[in-house]
This record gives sequence, structure tokens and C-alpha cells, in this order.
Amino acid sequence: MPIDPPFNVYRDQLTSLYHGLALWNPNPPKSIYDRVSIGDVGYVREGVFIRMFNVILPWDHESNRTLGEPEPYESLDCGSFTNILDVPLKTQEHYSRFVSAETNDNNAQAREPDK
Amino acid sequence: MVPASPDSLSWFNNSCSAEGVTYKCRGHGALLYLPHGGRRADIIRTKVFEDYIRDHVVSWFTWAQKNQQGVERMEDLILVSGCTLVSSWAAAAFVYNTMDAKLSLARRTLSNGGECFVWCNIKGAVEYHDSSISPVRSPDFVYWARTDFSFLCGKQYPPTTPDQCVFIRGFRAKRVLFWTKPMRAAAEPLPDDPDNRRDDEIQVTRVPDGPKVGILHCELMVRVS
Repeated sequence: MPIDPPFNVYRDQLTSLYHGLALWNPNPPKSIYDRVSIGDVGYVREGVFIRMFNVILPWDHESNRTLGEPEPYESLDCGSFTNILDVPLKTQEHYSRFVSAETNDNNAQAREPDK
Repeated sequence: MVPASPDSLSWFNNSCSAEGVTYKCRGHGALLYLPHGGRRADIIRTKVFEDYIRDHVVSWFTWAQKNQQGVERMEDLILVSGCTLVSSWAAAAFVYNTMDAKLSLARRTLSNGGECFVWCNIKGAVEYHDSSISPVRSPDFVYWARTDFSFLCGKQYPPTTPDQCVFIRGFRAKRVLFWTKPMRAAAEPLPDDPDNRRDDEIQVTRVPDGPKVGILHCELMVRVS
């Protein structure tokens, strides 16, 4: 029976909600980096983001040497003004189009998926 | 009763007391539950990121290949311009494209003030896991972890700031080939015609709007001059 890898199904289904590229495994590989940051350069492998280096940091920053020393580069300059919008995400549930949710209590209610 | 491994595909049926939320799906589907929400951080002025990846992606790709990162295509590389970080999460994927499947998820508060995720009533091809196993993090509580009927108690984790990334946003870039074909009145240009000129151009796309990893993209744009 053909089964699609969960990380691909998860990515395809939740990415369509326009919150971003959905990572099946949100936990950063601690041996490589502590958390995803703006300016990271990397790739996604089986639902895990693999960070190679961060271009806002200097090329020879210690955290940029985890997977090998990058070629020298000029750091990405975001400017002197505030350039990051940081807002709370209050939505708790995110599910794709063909998933339905129903509260398990005496007053069970079906809910629509997150659009 | 067979206890389920949190990371294994569950083909058995089980049941537990009615609580939480039951999710049903026919075909492919996915869900993400964030009990404490999270934080979105995004670059406001993105052009500098677009320009930067356009200027540097070739050298990054060369570096990745040289360092055997397993990056097969330039467009697999992502420059992150935004992300959503959370402290705890539960995720599931309905992985069979024609089968009905369902599962229930609940949060349970423990007597010591901790919390755990409980997965139950699993039917069909569903793969699921949560931050309990990696480990659970909460800004407010010390979590205890439980999946199905197996407690993974005994470990306590200190409160942490959100470091689990559930969504990333950014840019990819790929090389697009332009073939310049001088048109002649009497005959088409030969394949080895020295007048055929190829120009490379780096095309930047947004993530997640860009091409998916693992899908072959071959673009040939023909410019007739």
C-alpha cells in the first residue's frame, strides 16, 4: 500500500495555510544550532531545517562553523532602523482542508479547518 | 494492547476516555496544535534579502556541494526572512491518500502542575508526534509527557523560551536559462550554431511559494530576438 512520507504530507498540507513552510520536526538539531533565526541559510531535509550558517552574523562567527567554515562574505545589513515585525501567534489549532475537528464532550461541536 | 511508538505509523485501533478533540480526515491531511501559541518574527523590508540571495546563492550552493551537504539543487537552499517559534506543539499527518483516518488529542493537567499530550482513538494511517519527546517545552509549566498509554514521566525540563520552529518563511533562488535564438528568414538555427547564446539569470521566489524540494523543475525560457 503506497504511503507518502509524513514530512512531505505535512509540508504540503499545512504550507497551503499560508503561515509558511511547515516543518514536520520543529525541534532544531541542537548539535548544529539552537533555534531558527532570521538570516539563516539552510535547507529542509525530511521535515527538519538544517542551518548551514547565518548571514547576518559575521562569516567567521563561531556558530557558522558547525557544518564547515563558510567562504568569507559580507554580512547582510538589515539597516539601522527596526526591520523585524515580531507578533504573537494566538491561534492554537491549524489543520488542513480535509481535516475536521470535533470536541469530545457532551456538546460536541464540529469545527471548520483553519483557512 | 500494543503501545504505540510516537514516531511510528499506527495501524491499530485503540480507544480511551472521551476528551479533547477528535480530528477526522479522508485522504491526505495534517494538523498542528500549539497549546501556548507562539511568536511570528518577519523582516519588514524584504528587498535586501531578495537582492542578497540573488548575489550569493551560487557561492552557497558551491559551498554546500563542497561540504557534502547533500543539497542537490540550488533552489533547495533557503534564506530565512521569517519564522514562527513555539514552546510546545503536537503534529499529525494523515498519510494515506484514500483512507479515512482519525485520532484524538487532549491536554491533561497533572497534579503537580505539569501538562502532557494524550493521543488516542487512533484509526487508519496517521503518523503523529509532539514536543514531549524532544523534549516538551513550556514557558509556564514543567511538562510531563505521555503518548498513548505509555507515560514517559520521570523527566522534568526547565521552562524555556520558544525555540521550536513550526513555520519558516524566506526566499529561494534558482538559475533560469535564457536561450537567445537569432531568427532567420530561411532556416532555423542549428543546435551548434555559434550564434545561439545562453544567458543565466538568478530568479528569486518566496518560501513557501517556491518550488518544492524533490520535484524536478526544468525551465527553459525562450526569448526570440
